[in-house]
Order: sequence, then C-alpha cells, then structure tokens
Amino acid sequence: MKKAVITLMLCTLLLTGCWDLKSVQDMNIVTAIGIDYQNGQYTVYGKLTDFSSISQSDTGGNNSKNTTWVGKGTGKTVNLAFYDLYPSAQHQTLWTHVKSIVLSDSALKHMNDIFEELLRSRDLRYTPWVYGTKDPIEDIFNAETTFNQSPLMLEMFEPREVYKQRSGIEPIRLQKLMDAIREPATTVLLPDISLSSKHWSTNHKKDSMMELKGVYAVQKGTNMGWVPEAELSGARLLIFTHVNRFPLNLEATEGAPTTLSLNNPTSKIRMSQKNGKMNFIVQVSMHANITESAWKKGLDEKQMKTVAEKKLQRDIIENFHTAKKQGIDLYQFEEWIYRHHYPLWKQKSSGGPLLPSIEIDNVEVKVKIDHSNTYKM
Amino acid sequence: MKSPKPLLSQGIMIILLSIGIINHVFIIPVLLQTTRRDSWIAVIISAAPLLLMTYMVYFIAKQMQDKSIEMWIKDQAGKVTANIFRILMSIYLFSICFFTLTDTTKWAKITFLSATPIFVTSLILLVLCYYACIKGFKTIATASGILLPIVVALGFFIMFTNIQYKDYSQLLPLFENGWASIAKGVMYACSGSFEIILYLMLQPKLEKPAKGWQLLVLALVLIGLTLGPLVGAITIFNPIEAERQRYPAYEEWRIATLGRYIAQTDFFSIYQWLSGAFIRITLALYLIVDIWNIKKKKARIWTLAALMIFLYVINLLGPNDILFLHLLKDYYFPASFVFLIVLVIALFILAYISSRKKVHQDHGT
Repeated sequence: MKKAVITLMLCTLLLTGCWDLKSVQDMNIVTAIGIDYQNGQYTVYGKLTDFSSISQSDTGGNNSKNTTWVGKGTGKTVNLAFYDLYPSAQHQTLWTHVKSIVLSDSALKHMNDIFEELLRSRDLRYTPWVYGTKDPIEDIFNAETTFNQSPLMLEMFEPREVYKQRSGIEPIRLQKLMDAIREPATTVLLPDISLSSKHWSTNHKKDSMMELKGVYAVQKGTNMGWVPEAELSGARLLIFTHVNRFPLNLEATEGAPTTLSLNNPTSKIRMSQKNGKMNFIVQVSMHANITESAWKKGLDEKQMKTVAEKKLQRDIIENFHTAKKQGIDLYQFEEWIYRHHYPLWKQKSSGGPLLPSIEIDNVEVKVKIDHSNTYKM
Repeated sequence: MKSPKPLLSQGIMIILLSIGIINHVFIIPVLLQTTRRDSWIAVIISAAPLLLMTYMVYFIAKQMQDKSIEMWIKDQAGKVTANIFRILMSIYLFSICFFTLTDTTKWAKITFLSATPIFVTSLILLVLCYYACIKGFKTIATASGILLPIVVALGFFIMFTNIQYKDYSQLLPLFENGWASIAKGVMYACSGSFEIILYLMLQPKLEKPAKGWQLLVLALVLIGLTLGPLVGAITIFNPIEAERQRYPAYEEWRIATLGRYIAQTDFFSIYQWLSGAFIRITLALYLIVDIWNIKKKKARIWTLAALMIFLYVINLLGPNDILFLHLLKDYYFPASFVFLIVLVIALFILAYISSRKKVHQDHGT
C-alpha cells in the first residue's frame, strides 16, 4: 500500500506539464505561406492569424474587423528567406499550423527546391492546400471575407465549401501536388487563386475576394502552362476525383433555357497503337439533374440527354487539343501509359516528350438524368 | 489460484508488439529506399521464406517441449555449443536493444521533442524498461496485453482516416527496377519477420505451446504488419516522396485529419511507437539475463543495471542519425538476416537429429 502511494506520488511529478511550455498568445502563428521568386531571390510571406478573433467569431457576434498581419522575408534560398523574417518578428514564429501555401507563377519553376526545403522541416505537413497565382501574394493575403467571419473561413483555407456548391476547380493538398513533383509521368492541376472585386461590395465599396480562376498544369516539378476554367470541362469529367455539382447550359431555341447539373462522373480509358501513335478511347458516364427547363416549349428529356452528350463530347476533344498545343497532358494519358504499359513508356519517353504522339480517337459520353428536382418536367 | 505462467495469447502479444515495431516502423524506410515502388511485392514474396521458417520453428519447438532453449541445446550438442549460442544470442539481443533505443530517441528528438535532450528521453524509457525487466516475464506479458489492443485499434483508426488520401494506382507499374532490387527487399522484409524465432525462447515460459496453425497465422499477421504502412506510404505519398522520408509511418500519422476541427492526430503515434519500443527493449534485455540462467535476485538486478548503463552510454555517444541509418541498412538488417537463418538451420538440424534418436529409442524399448 505504502509502495503504491509513493509510486503514485512520484508519477505526479511527471505530470507537471511540458517543459518549455509556451502559450498561444506568445507566438506568431502562421496560417499561410506565400513564396515568390524574382531575380535569383526568394521572397517568403507569412500570414499571421489572431487566434483570439477566431474563437470570438466562431461563436458569432464579433463585429470588429479582423486584422491581418503579413510578414515578408527575402533570401537566396527559401530557408534563408525564412530566417530573414525572424529578427523583426518580436516573438517566436510557429509554422506548424500552416493551412495553405501560395506560389507565385515565377516560383512555380522552382517547386523542386522549394518543397525539398519546406518538407525537410519538421513543422510543415502534407495537408496544406496549395495554389499558384499571378497576383501579388501580399494582396491575396490581405483579401477580405464576408461578414467578418473567422479568418480561417477564407476560400484559401477552406476551399471545399465553395467546391461543394460549384465544382469548378478542384482544390488540392500538398500531398497531391507532390505526385507531380516526384513522379516521372504525372500531371497535376494546381489551382490558380486570384483576386476579384467584381462580385461583392461593402457599403458601396468594392471588396476584393479570393477566387479560383484556372489551373496550372504541373509535370515533373515545373509549370507546363495555364488553363482557364472554361477549358476544364473535359478534365472535370475525366480526372477530377470528386465532382459534387457543376452546371451545363444547353444552347436550345431562343427563350427556352435549359440547364443540367452534373455530378459524379466516372471514366474508363483504353489505348490502341497505330503507326507509332497512341490512340485513346475514352468512355465517360455521369449523373445529372435538370435545374432549368422551359415548361412546354423547351427540350424534352431525351433531347436534353443527346444535346448534353454531344456538347460534352466536343468539349473533351477540344480541351484536349487546346492543351496539347501548349504541351499540357490534360487528361493524364502519359501517366496511364506509364502505369499500364511501362515498357512502352520507357521506350517512347527516351526519345523526348510523349505528348505529340498521343491522340484522342473516340469519346463516348453517357449522361444519366436522375430527376428534374421539385418541378415535374 | 492464478496460473503461474502467462497465457499463450499473452506470449503472442509480446511477439506482435516487439516484432511489430520493427516491421511496422524501422524496416519501412530501408525497404522503400532499396526497392521503391516494388517493395510491396517484395513483402508479399517474403511470405514464402517466412512460412518455411515458421514451419522449422514449429518443428524445433515440438522437440524442445518445455525445456528452455539453452538447456535443450546443451542436452543435444554439449556445453560448448550451448555457450556459443548464449554468447551470439546475447550480442544479437543487445543489438536489438541498441537499435530500438537509438531509433526511438532520435525520432523523438527530430520530430516532436526537439527541445528535450536525448539524455532525458532515453533515461525515462530505460528506467521503465529496467523496472519491467526486474518485475519479470509475467509483468512484460501483462503489459503487452494492456498496450497491444489500443495499438491495434489506433492502427485501424489511421488506416481508415487516411483512405481519403490513398491512390492505389501508385502501386503500378510493377517491376520498374528489376528483380535484383526486389531480392534485396525480400531480404529486408525477412530480417524483421524472421524474429519469429524468438518464440522458441518464450515457449517454455508460457502456459501451453502454440499449435502449428497458430504460428502460421502469426507469421501472416507479421507480413500484414509490414504491408499495411508500406502500401499506405506508397499510395498516400508516391514511392519517390516516401523514399525521401526518414519516418514514412509517422508521416502517415501527420497527414491524418478528421474534419475541420481535428486537424492533427499524430500524438497517437507516440503511444504506438513507445509501446512497441518499450516491450521490444524490455523483452530483449530480459532474455539476455534469462539465457545465462541468472536466478538470484541481486545478481539479476546488477546485471540488468550494468546492461542498462552500457546501453544508455552508447546511445548517447553513438552515431548520428545519418550514420545510424546507414548502419541499419548496410549492416544491422543484413547481419540479423544471416544470423537468424543460420540459427534456425542449426537448430533445425539438432531437432531433426533428436527426433531421429527418439524414434530409435522408441524402437529400442
């Protein structure tokens, strides 16, 4: 008994807490990192978040405007740029809660070096959302949010909410981007985050808000080119991992608007070889529901299906060719060849890029209309 | 009255924890470095030699009955052979302690306790192991019974939470780097799983011996223990990125998120890792003292203390992590692979001869 008491008391000595304990208010907590590259110098931006404003605004009722602090450091390497930021930081700067990383398009050429350094540190995880941008990073980090919500509710930190409502451009995490940096044949579409002041205003003053407008196609750690959202119709059906809903407007007769909402596409690809060309046959099927239909004068269900299928088939082929001209393997065909026909890939890729000899042969699209929402057809 | 000996199931749990950590954690970075994308094939292939090994272990175990292994060797092959076995086994077991302690304390230093010196972390871990060692085998068995279920539950938790990141097409293409690298991978996979031979040292201490099928299932579970986090690392990260990582299994914990509010769960991995390391070091130390038949309490306490202090010092003065990983890959795993194979073959020959003798005697009477 006595022994047990002594042991228990000794145990409490171990429970006095961590040594070197620091409290939240004594640290600069970085929630977003931005990296720019100009004239051989890296510039690193850190967006700091006031955690007291999160707790207040999560429970609601906070009307004061959130303050954003953005730190900036420059150096020959990413690591040195971080060190450049420390002397003036006043506190310890904590990088363990980074939730998003923004790269300027000039930094996209150096992703290999950038992530080699960032991921070597024990602070950064693979979970942050990653973006490229053409806009100044400082502006993006100072962008506004509606209703003075929690600073962690920005598009940059929670892109899934907007994506669920309109699956325009799929956000990706660093974990996924690393496939395009490390794997030899994989193309990953990196969202382009930029500012738009067209849509929202506060008391007649225009607000600049974050928005995903297009993607950078990344392969072998470099940017192969930029694709606007309008040209991602095919990619959405073929390579996005989830599509919750996306509108498809069907050009019909005047005064009879018809719109479908597409979701859950699945695809299958096959390949045949002829004269050194690799011809792909693509089969896509998806679900849809009718969100807009002109009563009594528009298309009927069967016509909608045919028109939609034709339109998507054309989109898939056109998008592929537009991207191919830029040298972008939009549908990850090369990755497919690498994984399923490795000897062929090895032989072909030794003679330069594969893309020029990849052709799209046939596209079959199947749209399954599930329902017409709360109105009958 | 309680049974004086731990149950067979507790013995199996000790083996699962102590081999689990090497198969689950220590081997994976080495395996990814040598065999890359194909390493999962190497692990599946390694099931064949392991099952053969398991059969041999079972055959030897049947011959040993409830004799301890060193006594059985002495009876079969004389005192000199038994002593050679004792010396080699002690060196082997001590190297287990050293590599486990070093990898664990360095991992803590590099990843989550960077401000805490290694002399503190290793002291706390070793004192705990020392205490369990003195308390004896029954304590180790009971502790395993408490630790393992939670370790397993957490293992399944991480497997399911990470499904959101897994892309199984990353397992293709097959045979990218040829058969030579796969052969190396099979060697590394075996160098961990072959520790199933430790069962021979536990058997006489358990309530009843394991049946053949139980050992076979154990062997398959050990293969699964390597395959799980390995396939996880390849499908979550991609083999090239996973190869760059020092602690791929830990990175799998770092990526796990549960919705918006639980963004980090990696502290669970500390429980898993320390449970495995604690049982592995404790068991190895206990067995060193055990095979030399040191029965007197005072002698045991002092021998263990001497071993502990030696371990503590070489861990502090030992190699840096870069050299350590190199030692692990180029010396420790290949050496333990060869040692375990030679050992099992030698014991199998002894067991075979003894089984023939028995048949002879049976005919004689």
